[in-house]
Amino acid sequence: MYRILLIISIFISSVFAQVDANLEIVKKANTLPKILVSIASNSSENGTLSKIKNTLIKDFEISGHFEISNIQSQIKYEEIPDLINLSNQGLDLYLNISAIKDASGEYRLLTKLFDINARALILEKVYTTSQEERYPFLAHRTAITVNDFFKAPSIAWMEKFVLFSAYQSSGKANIMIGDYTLSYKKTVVTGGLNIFPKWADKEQKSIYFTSYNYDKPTLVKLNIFNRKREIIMQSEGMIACSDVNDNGSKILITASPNSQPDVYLYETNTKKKTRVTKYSGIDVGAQFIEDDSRIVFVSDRLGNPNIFAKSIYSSGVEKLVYHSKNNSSATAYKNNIVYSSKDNDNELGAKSFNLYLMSTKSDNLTRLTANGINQFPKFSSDGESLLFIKSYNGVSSVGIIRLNFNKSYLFPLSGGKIQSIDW
Amino acid sequence: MIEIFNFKDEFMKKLSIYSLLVASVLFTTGCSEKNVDMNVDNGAVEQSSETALNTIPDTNINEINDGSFTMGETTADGVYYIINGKKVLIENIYFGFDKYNLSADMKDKAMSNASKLSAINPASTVKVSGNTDEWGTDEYNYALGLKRAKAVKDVLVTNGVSANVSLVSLGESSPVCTEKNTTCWQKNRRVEHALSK
Repeated sequence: MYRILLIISIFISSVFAQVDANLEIVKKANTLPKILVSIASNSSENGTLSKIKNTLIKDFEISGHFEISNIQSQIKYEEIPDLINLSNQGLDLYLNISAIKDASGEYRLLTKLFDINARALILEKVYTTSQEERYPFLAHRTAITVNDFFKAPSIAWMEKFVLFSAYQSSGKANIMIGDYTLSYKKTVVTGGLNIFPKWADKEQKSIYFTSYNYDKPTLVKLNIFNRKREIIMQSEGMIACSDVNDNGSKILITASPNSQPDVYLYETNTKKKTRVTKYSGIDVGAQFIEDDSRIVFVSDRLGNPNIFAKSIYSSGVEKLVYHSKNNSSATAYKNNIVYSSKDNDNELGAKSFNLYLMSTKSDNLTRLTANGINQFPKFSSDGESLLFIKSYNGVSSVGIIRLNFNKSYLFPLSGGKIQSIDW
Repeated sequence: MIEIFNFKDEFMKKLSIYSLLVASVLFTTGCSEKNVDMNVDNGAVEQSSETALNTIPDTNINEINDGSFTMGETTADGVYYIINGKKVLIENIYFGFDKYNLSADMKDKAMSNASKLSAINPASTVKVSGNTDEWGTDEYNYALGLKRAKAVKDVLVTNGVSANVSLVSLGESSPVCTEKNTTCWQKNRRVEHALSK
């Protein structure tokens, strides 16, 4: 026992120089560190642990910062892996995981990360939850901690809730929260038609959503923890919260008080409403840009739905997208805009809506999806990832695009059709 | 003022007359030897029934014109309502893909609905709901539904409907069919009507 401790302490003392070497690998991104995720052979709980392993592998893959290894290796949680053998096989990192479920129902995930090149244990962490069904978040937290340890670009979005609305049947839609893979899902509003949910704050404590359970469409603010409800605005015809600014002090609303859909700015502290668009056709889907001074929005003022920009307090409107005749559903991050465009029927005869990424500062235009109906794009808060909804072959999925890696991932919803989504 | 033909009173009057008639016949045939006094003059009875009939108030039923209505059955093409006692079909209005203008024959349908609905009393409400097919799931789609409802409302209001006309957009949330074909998508691109008091 003491001999092992001595060996470990020698290993650990040489950690720091080797860890720096690993940092260099990640930054260059020429070769990604190869990581193996292994379930400890003496783990007392294995069912959920297998799901955690799969989620971890997915998280590392989607991060784009690690390469997944398929080497077969299993050791007890207390043991050290065969470092020399694994090093010869090109492995860089070994993540050994184990789990205990105690009588009270608390689930503990134990993790040990070995740096094979440094021959050292570099990270040991335990994560717990009182609800086993929340296991995906244990996996996400583990992946984020490993990612952050190497100072790789942040993947903090992985442990945030996504908020979405799903049609259950004609006239009925529920509002749900889940992890980004939809492995964990929980209904927060049910009964009647509830649509267009949006997070009201970064802490993900409250939401805005549209309810059809009142005498006219109503914008409601709901605290999902204490269930406190506030009516923000009502509008005969339609109403939806389109965007919330960074600190939650302002929201953009599409409303139709005179049967006419237009964009309104609502200041949450003063409850002041300002009408932003005046065109007599359709003006919807506004998003804040340029420090909340301007908006990007969808309008049919030129005969077809297209993307425009406008200052909130002055009247000039600028057309932003010149490609295609039918563009709806836009999101913006700094100079980048992603919008959904109705492509012409392709040779297979199916109509499709695809996502395009453009810059306001150059002529670059990139097509991000290839088929199906792709809508509701939303940039992550760091602008590096895109969330969207895809409907294809009768399956409704959450989509994640990692823009820097040009990679796209889909997570299908079982039961129901996703109406709108936010993160 | 409404004059109501009161069936019960009239029936009771007739019943009493006929009972008297039957009774009198029985008495004359059954009791002629004993009860000469009870001889009832048939002619007099008929005369009195004539007279009785003459006292019945005017049997012309005045039309109920208070603008009241009840709902009939819902069909694939619209909803039946009984308005002022008359059964009429308020037809759904249909739209082209991505469009919210009324074609010529849809305009005719809307005007025909307007003339049927012009009879309902001004305190009632016609709720016009706009729907779309499944090809969108964002705000633009809900706005399309709203513009469709508005196009129909405008026809109703300018063609004699004095009741309140309220609007709602249901977007793609309330399909009547779910097949993936052009026939079904066309059926979903519709405006429906619902009356309430």
